[in-house]
Amino acid sequence: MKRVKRQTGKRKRPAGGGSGGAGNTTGRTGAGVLRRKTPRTRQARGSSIGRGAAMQDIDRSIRRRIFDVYRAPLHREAVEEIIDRYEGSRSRVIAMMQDIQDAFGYLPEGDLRLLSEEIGLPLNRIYGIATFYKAFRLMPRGRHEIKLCTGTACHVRGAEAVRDALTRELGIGEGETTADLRYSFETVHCLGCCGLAPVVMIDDDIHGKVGYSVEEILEKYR
Amino acid sequence: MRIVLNGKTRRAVGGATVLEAARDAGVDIPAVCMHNGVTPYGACRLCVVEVREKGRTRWRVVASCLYPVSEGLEIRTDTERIRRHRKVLLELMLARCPDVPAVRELARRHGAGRTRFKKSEDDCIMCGLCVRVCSEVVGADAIGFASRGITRRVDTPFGIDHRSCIACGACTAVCPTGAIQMEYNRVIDMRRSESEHPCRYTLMGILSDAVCSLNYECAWCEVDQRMRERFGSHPIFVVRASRAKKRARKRKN
Repeated sequence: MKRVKRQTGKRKRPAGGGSGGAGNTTGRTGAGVLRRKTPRTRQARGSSIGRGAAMQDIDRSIRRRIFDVYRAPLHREAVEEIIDRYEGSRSRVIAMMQDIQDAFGYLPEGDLRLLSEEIGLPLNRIYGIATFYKAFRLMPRGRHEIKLCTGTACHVRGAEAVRDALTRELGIGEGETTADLRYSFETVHCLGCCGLAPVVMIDDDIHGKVGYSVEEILEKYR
Repeated sequence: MRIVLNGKTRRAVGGATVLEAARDAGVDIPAVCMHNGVTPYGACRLCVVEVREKGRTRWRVVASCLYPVSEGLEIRTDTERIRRHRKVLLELMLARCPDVPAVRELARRHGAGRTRFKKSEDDCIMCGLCVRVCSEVVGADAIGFASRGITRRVDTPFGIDHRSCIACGACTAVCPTGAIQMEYNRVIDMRRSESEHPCRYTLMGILSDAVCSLNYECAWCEVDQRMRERFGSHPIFVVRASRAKKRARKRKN
C-alpha cells in the first residue's frame, strides 16, 4: 500500500511541469459519457480474499482520483527514442510497444498516450493491441514472479488446490500483481519437471511437490 | 457483370459485395452488423450464403457482406445448409443476450426460439457497429475492442473516461441491441462544467453557451453534417424519439 502511494508521488512530478496544470481542473468532471449497461463480471471475481489486495483494484481507485497525473508520460525521452528507432511508422507500433515493455517491464498508461500522439494512432487501437496480446502487460510486475504449472501431471497431482492456496494467500488472481508489488502470479502450461508435480516456480527457483502450506515458500521471497 | 442468384440470372455492379447485389435484386439476406454508413466487418455472420465461382464444383459458405461478386458467380441464399448455419449462429447470439428483444425476435424468425447453449447476461453482440461508427463516421476514436476471446469487450482505453468522446451519441444510435447507452446525467454535468471538450451535442438543442471542441461555427460543423448524411437526422434526436415513445407506452399501460 505504502509503496503504491510513493509511486504515484513520483508520477506527479513530470505532470506538474508539463501538461498536468491545465488538465487538473478538468480531470474530475471527465469527458467520456459512455458506459456499458451490463456490469463487468470479471471485476467481481477479482475481489480480494486474503491479506493482500490486487494491484488492479488499487490502481483503478488511484486513477480515478488523480486522473491527469496518471496520464502524463512517465518516460518521455525513452519513449521518443523508441519511436525514432522505428521512424515513427504506425505499422510498427507492436515493435515499439515491445520495446517499451522491455525497458520498463510493463506498458505505462502515460507512455501509451504519448505513443498514440506521436505516431498518430488512436489510443483505442493501441489499447486494443495491448489487451489483445497476452505478452503485453498494463500493470507493473511484482519483484517476484510466481509461476504455477498447470500441465497434465501437475493438474493430476492437485495444481488446482495449489492455485486456490496461492490465491488465498496472495489475495490476487491469475495474471495479477499484489498491491505491495511483491508478487506477480500467473499459470503456465508445463515447466518440464513433471516428476516433481505439483510444481511452482518462483523467479528462477523450482519448488516441487508443493503442499497446502504455500506460506513457507512465499516467506523466502521479500 | 452477370451473377446467378438463386437460379436466376441477374446483373450486378462490378466491385459490389454479394450482399449488396442480392439486396439490389430484391433478395433479403439477414445481417446485424451491417450499416450503410460504415464499412462491412463480417462480425455477425448471419449474412452467410453459399457461393460457387465460375468453373468450380463445390459450394462454399461465405459471409456475403464481404464477398465480392465476380463474373458468373452462383449464389444460393436460402438452402437447408444456410438455414442450419443461421440457426446455430442465432442460438449462440441468443445464449449470449437472452434478454434483448431484438435478438429474440430475430432468432424466433429463423426458427431459433430456444437455445441449446448456456445462457449469459450480456447485451452486446460484438457487432462492432459502435466502434466503426466512432472511428469512421465521427472520427473520434473513443471506443474500441479490448481483450480477446470470451473476454472481448467494447471499451474506452484503460476502461476509464476518455476525452476523445464528444458525446455525440452515434454509437447508441447504431447499436442494434441497446447495449451502449448515453448517460444523460453525465452529459448534463459536462454541459455545466468548463471541461476541455464541451461538445455542442451535449447541449441537446440548447446552443447558446456551446463551445465547440473543434472550434467550428455550428452551421459549419463537419461532425453534424456527417451525422445528417449517414443517419438522416442527428442520433441524439433519434435516441430521444425512441425514449419518448417508450415513455408514452409506459404511460398508456
